[in-house]
Amino acid sequence: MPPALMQGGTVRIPGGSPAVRWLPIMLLLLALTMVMILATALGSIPIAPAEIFGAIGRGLTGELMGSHDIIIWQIRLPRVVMAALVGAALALAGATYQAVFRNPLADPYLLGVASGASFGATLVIAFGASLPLLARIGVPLTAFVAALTSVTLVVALARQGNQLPTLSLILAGVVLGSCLTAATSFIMFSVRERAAEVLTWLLGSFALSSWRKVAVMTPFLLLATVATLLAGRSLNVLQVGDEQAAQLGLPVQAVKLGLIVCATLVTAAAVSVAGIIGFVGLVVPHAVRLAFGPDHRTLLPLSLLGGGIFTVAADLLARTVISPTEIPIGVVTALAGSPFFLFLLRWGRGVS
Amino acid sequence: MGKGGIVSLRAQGITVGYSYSVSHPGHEVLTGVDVELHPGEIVALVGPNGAGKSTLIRLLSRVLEPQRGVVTLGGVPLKRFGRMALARQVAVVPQGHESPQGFTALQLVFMGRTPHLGFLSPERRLDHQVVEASMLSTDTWKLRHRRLEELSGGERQRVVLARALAQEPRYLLLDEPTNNLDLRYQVELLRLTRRIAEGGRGVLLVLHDLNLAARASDRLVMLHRGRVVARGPAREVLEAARLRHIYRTEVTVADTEGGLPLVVPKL
Repeated sequence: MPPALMQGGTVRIPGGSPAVRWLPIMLLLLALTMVMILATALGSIPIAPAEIFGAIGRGLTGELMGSHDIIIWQIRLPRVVMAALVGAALALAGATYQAVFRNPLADPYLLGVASGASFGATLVIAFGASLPLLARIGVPLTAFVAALTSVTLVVALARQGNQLPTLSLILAGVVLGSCLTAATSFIMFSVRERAAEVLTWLLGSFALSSWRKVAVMTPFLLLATVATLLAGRSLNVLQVGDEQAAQLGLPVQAVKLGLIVCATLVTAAAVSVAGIIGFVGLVVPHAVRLAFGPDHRTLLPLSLLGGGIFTVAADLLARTVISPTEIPIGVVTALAGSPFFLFLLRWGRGVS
Repeated sequence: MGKGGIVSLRAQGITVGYSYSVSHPGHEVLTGVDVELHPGEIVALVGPNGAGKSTLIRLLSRVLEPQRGVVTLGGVPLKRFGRMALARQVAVVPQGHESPQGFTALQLVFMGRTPHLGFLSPERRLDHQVVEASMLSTDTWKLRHRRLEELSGGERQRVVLARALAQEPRYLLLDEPTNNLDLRYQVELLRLTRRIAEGGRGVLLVLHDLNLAARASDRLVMLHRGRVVARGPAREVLEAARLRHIYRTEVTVADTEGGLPLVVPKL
C-alpha cells in the first residue's frame, strides 16, 4: 500500500476498548464468586457466609473446628468448586467445538466423549464385582480412558490424508456414539440389578465430589483454558471457513487438531469426575454469544465463567429443591436452562 | 528470488482434477496450464464458466495442490512457504465469501493481519494503521462498526477486498471482484487495482466482462476447458472467431479509439 494511503483519522480497537472487553469478564467473575458463596451457605443446615471464610482458612491449615467447618470444608466447598470447574470445562469445550466445527449444534460430546465414557463407566459398574482388575482402576479413570479412546477412533476414522473434514468428523462421532450407546444400553439391560447405579452415573452428579477430584480436574482445565484463550484470534479467523482461513495465513489443520485435543481432554476429565451433564456445553456459549457478541477473545473467557455460574446454580437447585432427595444435575441443567435460553433467543438480540 | 531479482508468481505445467471416488475418477479441471504473474502488472483471467479460473486461483494460493506441475513464487515452490509466510505474499478475494455471523466489518478486515501477527503478539499500532488505510481505500471505513450481515453484497465485497489489502500482499488474486458492484464501484475497484499494481504489486483479476477485462488489465489470459487458449494484449486475445468458438455465441468485435476491442454479443 502506498504511504499516502497509510494516513487516517482515529484508530479504534475492534470490539471496543480494552475496558469494554474486560467489564463483562469482571462482572461474571463477581457473579461466580457470589453464587459460589451462596451455594456453600445454603443446604439442609444453613450457614452464614461470614463463617465460610473462616472455615476455608482453617481448612487450608488443617485446623477444622466444629461441625460447620466440616460441612463447609469437606462436603459443600469441594462440591461447589467441583461444579464450577466442571461447568467451566464443559462450556469452554462447547464454545471451542462450536467454533472449530462452525456448527451451532456442536457440544462437548460431539466426538464421542460422552458415549465412550458412559461405556467405560458402565463396564466397571456392571462387571466390577467379577473383574477385580477393572474395579481397581475405578470408574473415573476407566471413563476417562474410554472417552479418549473413542474420540481418537473418531478422528482416525474421519482423517483424510492430513485433512480433518468437519462433516466426516461429525458423522464418525455420531455413528460411533450410537454404537457405544447401544452397547451401554445392552449392558444395562443384561445386568439389571446394576442399571439404577449406571443411570445415576449417566445423569451426572456432584454428590461424590472431593478435593482429590478437584485436584485431578484442575490441571486439565488450566491447560484447556490457556490453550483456547491463546487461540481466540485464530478461532475468529476459522469462522470464515477453512479455505479462506488458510489463505489468511492460518495453519488450519494444526489449529483445529490442537483445539480438539484440548477440548476433548478437559471434557473427558469433567465427565470422568461428574458423569454426563448435558446442556451446559451447548447452551452457555450460545447465551454468551447472544449477549456479548461472537469475538472469541471474549466469548471463551465469558463461556468459562458462565458455565461455572450456571452449573453451581443448577447443582444448588438439584440438592435443595426436594431435599433431602437430590435431582440428577443433568435434569436440572436442561429444565432450568431451556427457558432461560429461549428467553435470550427471543429477546436477547438487542443486548449485543 | 527469481532471475534478475524479479519475484514472479508462476504456475508451470499445472494439471489438476477433482476425483470423487476411485471408480469415478472425474475429469481434469486444468491441463498443462502455464501462467506467470509479475510484480506491477494486472493480468485478467477470462474464459467461460467452468473453464478452471477459480481452480487456478486456489492453486496459486495453495489451498489446492496440483497433481502435476508446480507453482512457484520467486522460483521457490509454494510448498516451501509456511501458511503465514505465503499469506504475506499472496492474498485472495474469493468469489463466494462466507461472512461469519455477528462480526463487524472492522473485525473481518483485522483478520487480514493474521499473517503479520503471531499467536501471542498483540495488535500493534501498525496493524491498526494498515487496517484503517485498507478500509479507507475501499471506501468501507464508514461501515466499520456495521455487522457483516447488515451489509449489501457490494459493501461486503469491498470489505473482503479491504481484508486482502490488509494482508499487504505482493500478489492479489481477485475472483470476479466486480460481481455485486454497481458501475461506480466497479470503476473504483478497477482503478484501485491499478494503483495497487503501480505500487509494485501483481494483480490477477478473474473477470467475466470481456470489455472490462480489456480495459482494466495489461494483458489477458484466456482459459477454455482447462487449457490456456490465448494470452497477450486484449486486441490479440479477443478475436471474434475465437470468442464465437469458445463462448458458442455470435459476437462482433469493434475497434474503439483507444485501440481496445469492444465485444458486442448479438442478442
